[in-house]
Amino acid sequence: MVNLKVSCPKYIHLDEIYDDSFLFFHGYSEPFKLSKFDVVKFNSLSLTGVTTASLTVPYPLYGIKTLSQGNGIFVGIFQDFDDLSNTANVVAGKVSVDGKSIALGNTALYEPEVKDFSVDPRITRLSDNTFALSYFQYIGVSGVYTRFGKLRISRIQANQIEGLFIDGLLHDSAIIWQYITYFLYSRCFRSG
Amino acid sequence: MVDPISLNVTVSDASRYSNNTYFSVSHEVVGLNANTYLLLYFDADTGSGPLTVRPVSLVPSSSGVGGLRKVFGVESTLQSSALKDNMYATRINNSTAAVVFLNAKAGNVLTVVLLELNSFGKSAVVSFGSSINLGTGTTLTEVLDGYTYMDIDIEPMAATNASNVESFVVLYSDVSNNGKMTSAYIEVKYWTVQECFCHILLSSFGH
Repeated sequence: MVNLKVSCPKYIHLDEIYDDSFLFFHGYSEPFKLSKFDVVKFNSLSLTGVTTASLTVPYPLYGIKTLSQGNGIFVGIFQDFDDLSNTANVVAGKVSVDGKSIALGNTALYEPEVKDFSVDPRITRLSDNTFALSYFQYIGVSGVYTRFGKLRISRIQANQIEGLFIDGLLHDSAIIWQYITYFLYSRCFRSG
Repeated sequence: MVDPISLNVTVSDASRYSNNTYFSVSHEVVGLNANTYLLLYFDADTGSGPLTVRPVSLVPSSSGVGGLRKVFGVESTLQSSALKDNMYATRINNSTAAVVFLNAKAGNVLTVVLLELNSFGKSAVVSFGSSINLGTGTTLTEVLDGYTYMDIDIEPMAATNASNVESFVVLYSDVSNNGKMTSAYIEVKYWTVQECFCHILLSSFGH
């Protein structure tokens, strides 16, 4: 069993990234304004797992979605909460085959000015390199909007950080534990 | 080390698909294949409304992102439903998806409904298929109005790029059972939207 100690995330999500590992992200708004990714490899026989890589980014992610399972490619959707802008963006990332590192690519702006999301923006996979978005927009003509996007993979440009294990405050670890339990539970069904 | 590549994302122009200005409108997007996705929302400018689905087809374009542009299909509304809070959907195959939501019009029961897409482009339309209720809803209504919110999730039991999903799991907090995290394992038995759900296995766990 994997038990990550994290401090009150506002958003959490799990997505399988390789057959033997998944990407767990937890996003924060106030006061942290950051998000963390953890790559967790699991052992289907003993239903245990180990965190093999972590990455922290200085903005709150709302969701991630695996685009290309087996190649480690995913996309994330986030809003910039700095004091100068409230932009909404998409970022792409890749987990290495050995699960030991995470790299992020460029961020693509999809709204130049948004108010604080009271409703989560949503992202879905269309193919190994395309996705679609749905989000609520207050500014200008308010309503629910959609866009689609494309990911182009070429030579390296991304930053990467390896091997930081998260050990924060234990406020809401129960739900994290349950979420991971759920994932392992699901895998148990599938393998059975 | 991550393989030596870069990841460059581009996004298309924005399209407003609903003029709902309610501050916490529930909405969802689910991709069916490389050229089709479904937009789900409740159709009202108040705190609740019926589930509405609108398909989007991506058709060739000379100037769009990836050489594609959006074409909206026909809206479909499930009149027997009323959504207030979160909903989540998952793909089953290239023309079918499942959505889970708390149905305020049926005693706040947690409902899973199949959606089937017919046609492509402007004539694309979604039909609502069979549904199942997780719990009776009776106990859920004991929760005071405004407190029926609970986070829910629906995940396929298959790889991301699987052609067909034969089963999926709904995860929710069961307010009729002290809010325990509960998973419903649902096997899709038949590939028609009218006759599909079988083998539901409920399991509660956690605190």
